[in-house]
Order: sequence, then structure tokens, then C-alpha cells
Amino acid sequence: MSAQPLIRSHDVTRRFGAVEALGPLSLHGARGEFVSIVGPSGCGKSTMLEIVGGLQRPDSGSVFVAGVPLEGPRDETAIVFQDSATLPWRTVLDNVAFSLEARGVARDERRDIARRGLETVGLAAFAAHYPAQLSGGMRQRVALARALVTEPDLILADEPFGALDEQTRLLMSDELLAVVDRLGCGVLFITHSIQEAVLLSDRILVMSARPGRIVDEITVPLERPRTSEVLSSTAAAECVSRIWALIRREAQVAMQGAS
Amino acid sequence: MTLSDSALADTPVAPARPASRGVPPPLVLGIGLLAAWWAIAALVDSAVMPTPVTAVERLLVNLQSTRFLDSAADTVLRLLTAYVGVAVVGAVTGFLLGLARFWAAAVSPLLYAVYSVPKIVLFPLFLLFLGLGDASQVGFAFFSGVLPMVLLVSAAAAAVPPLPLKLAASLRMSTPAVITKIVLPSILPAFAGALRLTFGLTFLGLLIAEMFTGVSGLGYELLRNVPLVRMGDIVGEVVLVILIALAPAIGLRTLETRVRARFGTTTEGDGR
Repeated sequence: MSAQPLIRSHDVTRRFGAVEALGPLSLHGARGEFVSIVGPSGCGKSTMLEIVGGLQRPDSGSVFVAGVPLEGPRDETAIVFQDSATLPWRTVLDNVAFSLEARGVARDERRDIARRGLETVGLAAFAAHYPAQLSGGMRQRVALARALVTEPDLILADEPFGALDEQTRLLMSDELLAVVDRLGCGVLFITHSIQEAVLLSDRILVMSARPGRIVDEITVPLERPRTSEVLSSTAAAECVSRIWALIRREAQVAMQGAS
Repeated sequence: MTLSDSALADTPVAPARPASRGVPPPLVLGIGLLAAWWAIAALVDSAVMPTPVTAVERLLVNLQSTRFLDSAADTVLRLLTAYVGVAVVGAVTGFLLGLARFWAAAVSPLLYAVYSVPKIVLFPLFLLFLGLGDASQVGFAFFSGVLPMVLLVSAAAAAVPPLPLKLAASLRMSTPAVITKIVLPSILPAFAGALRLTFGLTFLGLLIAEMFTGVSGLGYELLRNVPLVRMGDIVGEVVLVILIALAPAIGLRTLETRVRARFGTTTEGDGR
């Protein structure tokens, strides 16, 4: 794994009206590193991800990506959303090609690249289908392919498997791990699932209840490459247990705050 | 193992629905209503309740009259003019309104208020400003259809799901590209539904206007026969109005169904 810094945020804060949503929050991530953020609902995880993606501006603090101050979305960053955000009027192939189309890649070229992207996620046979004809897991793979075909150096994923059933989620996790290992890109991954975070991550950042701050950072002591089978190991179980203890406390704080 | 190895994850979820066979239900209903009309007319046996045969006979007689044919042609032309105006002006205005949050907030309550007023009470204003004739009739028909078109399209434009818009922002798409590739396709189902709905409203507005101020048109012909109690002629004209409305109504319904099937299935929040 390269130690080259890819993301570095310092004392980022974000307010929505009178509500302090986030921070101050600092984090970093390297190229080739898989960093997950877990925390109680409403702690600002998605807000932080959108700030790193350039979709929102922080009220204070700074964000650098690849050593450059972040001014907005960048071409080398790909975002995978919780819901697949597939466009129902486009075929699977054209959905995958959409990110290339937005960047002005010629039609034939982008379709060739999109076909290869579909092969990567095992959906080549469904190129001519429409999203409504696919299962939720398949649509999420379309979204993943759409992100991958731009050859990003950074993938931001906002609970991309949140709406999937457990089996599909584990299979998707294996697939994502394989793809990220192959590409060597950095990943910032938001999830509610502690097991998913342990399975996928090199490091896990645990956030506090709102306004979200990092309360702990856990380095996952599992060798790469991994598959979902590592979840049955003692090391993984210890990680899950430690993170759950932290999140449980923060979730209780969040629930008391809400009531 | 890749996901492609998994039958679990590769199962498409929306198999095509087999086409139903036999007589279409609307046709069955139509035949049933026709039979009921016939039975009631035969039972009542009154001059005010002509049978379907009498009505169609009177219609065929009327259709041989140049004046009646001109009236029907006038109605069709006025309807076409008003409806094209409704579709174009209403869709463009609604679309722009839906994109402009300030103007939508400012204008929509007013439009809803005007829409809730029975249109007919505003007809004298059309007479005052546009006079007795085609202009006021087409104007009133246009007015009857354009408000719902504006309201439906603006609501659709304002309700484009946020996720595709976030996706577009993350891809740094230009505003024209966002409009053509995301916003317009997103509102097409609502537009198709509004086309179907406003056709009927426009036609209704035109017939009412023709009844009040026309010297030609099917609305005028209908009302002209009332004092003379020509029930066969009246019902025959109603049949003609239904026939004129039927083809576009079926066509627009088919269009809406196709557009909804292609553009209207949102996959957001539908993870399985």
C-alpha cells in the first residue's frame, strides 16, 4: 500500500441553520487505503462524504485531495450513492457510460469502456436491460461499474450496500474488495454495518453523535486480500465488538439528544 | 468468486407481464353501456330518450348538412389550436416555474387559487376582452387546459429526485446537460399524464364556450337543439363528440403508458 496522502481534512465543520451537524473533524486517507466511517444515525457521515466529494462546502476547516485544496467535485473522484441512482430511461450499458458521456468521451469509445466495466462487475449479459429489470444488487453493481469506468483515484461510497439483503451485501463486498485491490485507488466508505466495515477496511473511523467528530480510529488487523470468510476469525470478532461498544455509547447519546 | 457466479444476485426482478388475451375490458364495458342504453330507451319508449339507432340515424342525417360539417370542423380546428397552445405554453411555463424555486413559491398558490375557481365565472372576462367569436372560445378552451398543465409540469420539475442531480453534480455536468439528460426525462411521465388530462379539460372548455357564444361549433349545435327538443339530434351530436374525443384520448393514454414504462420507473429507494 502506498503512503501517499490522498485525502486530508482539517477541522471541518458544517451547520444547517441552528443545527451543528459536523465537526470539527479531521481525517486522512492514503492511495490504496480503504477507510470506513461508522457512527450513529444523523452524526454527519454522509455530510462529511459529500464535503470530501466537493458536493458541499464546509463552513470552516480545509479539505485537500491529492494535495490540492478542494474547490468542488473533481474528475478523479467517483461517488457511489446508497441508492444506485441509475437512470431508469437508460439501458444498463448507457447508465455505465453516463459518467464518461458527462466527460465528453465519444459514443463508441465510452460504450466500449462501459462494456468492459460491466464485465468487471459480472453484468455483461445485462447490457441491454433497463434498471427496473434488475435486482437491487445488480443495480448497485451498475452504479459501481459507472464509478469504476472513470478510473478514479478516489471512490466515495455512501452506504452503497445499505438497501441490499445480507447475502448480496457480502457478495458485493467481496467484489468491491477485489476491484479496489486491482485498481489501487483510495476509498472512503460510509456504512451502518460494523461487520461490513471490518470486512472491507484498512482503518475504521468511529464518529460521535451529532455534531460528528472522530472518537476512535481502529486499524483492522486482517491481511489482504480478504473475502467475507475472514468475518468468522477471532480478530474480526474482536474488532466488531470494540466498535460496537463505541457506537452503542454514541447511539445512546444520539437517542437521548433526539428525545 | 465473482457476483456473476451467483444465481442469487443475477436474477432479474421484472419479468415481462404476459399480454392478456380476449376482449379488452373497456370494450366489454362500452358494449354493456350501449346495451343498457338500448334497453332503457326501449323500456321508457319516450321522445326524450332516443335509442342508439335513432341517435346514429339523426347524426348521419346531420353529417350530410354542410352547415353541420362546418360546425364540426370549426370545433376540431379550435380544439386543435387551443390544445397545441396548452401543450406548448403550459409545458414550457410549468417547466420554467418548476426550476425557479422563488417563482414557483410565489406563483403556484395563485395558480391553485385560480384553478379552484369554477372556470365558467371567468368566461365573461374572455367575452369582454376577446369578443364574441373564435378568439374568446379558443381563449377559454386554452385557459381551461393550461392551468393544470402548468401545475402538473411545474410540480414534476420541482420534484426531480435529488440523487440523479447529486450524481450530475459529482460528474460536473453543465446546467444544459443536467436539464436535457436528467430533468427533462424525469418529467416526461408527468407531462404525458398532463397531456391526457388537459385534452379533456380543453375540449370541455371549448364546448362550454361554444354553447354560450357560438354561431358555429358542436357546442352551439347541441344547445340549438335543446329548445326544439330534438333529442335524437342532441344525442347524435353527443355521440359525435365522444367519437372526436375517443381517438386522441386512446392515443394519449397509450402514449402515457409507454412513456411511464420507459421513463417513469424510479429505482431510487427500491433496493431489493
